[in-house]
Amino acid sequence: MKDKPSPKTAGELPSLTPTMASRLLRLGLSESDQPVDLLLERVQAAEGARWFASAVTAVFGESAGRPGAELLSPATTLARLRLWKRQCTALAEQAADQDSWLQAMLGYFLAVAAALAHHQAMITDRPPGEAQATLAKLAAAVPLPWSNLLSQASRNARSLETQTPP
Amino acid sequence: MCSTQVGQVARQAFQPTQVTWILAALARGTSGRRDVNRHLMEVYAQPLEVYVRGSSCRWAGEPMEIVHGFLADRLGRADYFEKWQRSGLPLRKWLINGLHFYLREIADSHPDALRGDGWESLLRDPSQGPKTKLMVAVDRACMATIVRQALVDAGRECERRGLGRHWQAFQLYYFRDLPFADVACDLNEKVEKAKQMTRIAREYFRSAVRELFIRDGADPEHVDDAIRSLLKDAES
Repeated sequence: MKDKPSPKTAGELPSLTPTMASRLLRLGLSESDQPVDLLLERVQAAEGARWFASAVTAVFGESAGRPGAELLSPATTLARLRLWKRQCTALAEQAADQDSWLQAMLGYFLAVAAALAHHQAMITDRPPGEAQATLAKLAAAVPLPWSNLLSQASRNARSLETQTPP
Repeated sequence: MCSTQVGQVARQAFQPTQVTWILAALARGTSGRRDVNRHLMEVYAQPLEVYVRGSSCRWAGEPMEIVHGFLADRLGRADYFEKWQRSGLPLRKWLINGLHFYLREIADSHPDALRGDGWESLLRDPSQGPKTKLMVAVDRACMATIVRQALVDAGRECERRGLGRHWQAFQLYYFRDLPFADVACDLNEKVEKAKQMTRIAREYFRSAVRELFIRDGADPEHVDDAIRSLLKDAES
């Protein structure tokens, strides 16, 4: 299929029936079953902090008893963070149960957050505005020092969004 | 949910204290005013035209010319959009109210042109009373123009980010209603990849829709309420 240019004006779009307009407008609503919401539910449940620490260790390992120490270090390269993100995507696709899937999703978000916080770089195709909102939600739910990392990442995503030319 | 409750939800969803995109743009002077004018024309001209066509003021001229005159007049008033912000109303409702009073101003200067029912209907405030067929038509037109503008914005953004094929996947799935197997075939991709591409483009579309609501005064924390309010208003 040849690439077709995206419409530049509303006039170039196919006509919209009220039903189609309504269906499309509903896509603007936030989804309650997005990965971040399920993740928040798990982190905020009983033993959530313990689950979080064991999930970080399972995905990123630990150093001197500190789960995910490498992820928290600004010295970790962008290439390494990209690799982790890809590995987490693969882990999520292969997950045999919800808990494994949530661990992989947590790893994915933390890798994206570390890239934003340490390198001001977006390593996901998601819009910066969406990443900013997602990371801010997570920042409010996880323990220190991760909440600091996620808050910084969220601020940097916001800054990248406002720098985006119209 | 009754119409009064919907009205309350709509007001809660719009934040009178936040600095809206429109006020920030107007503060930039001529270029900002041009941006606001373009935005109003792209998103609101058609719903406003629907309102004029359904009103008793068709004698006053071409509906779209009346809409242009109305927007030029209100953009020329320094405090018009500050008053909108203080009102806590969605922009579409504020503009329809404004257009209603603009039509009354025209009618006042042509006292012979309106008689009987025409004058009565012009005296009624469109924001009050039960939902009329005209207001449903206006809200449907508004829903369509917001969706169309969001499609344009999201398509541009995807293209700018090198995600043109993701946007094609979105269009094939949501416009042509093709199953993912056919979307994948058209794009020469695996089905899982086509799903992922569609999902990513859908997030750009979601962001574009939400940005338009925020731009028009919706509280960023309550965009869902603002969207549901418009969906409810556009139901017959």
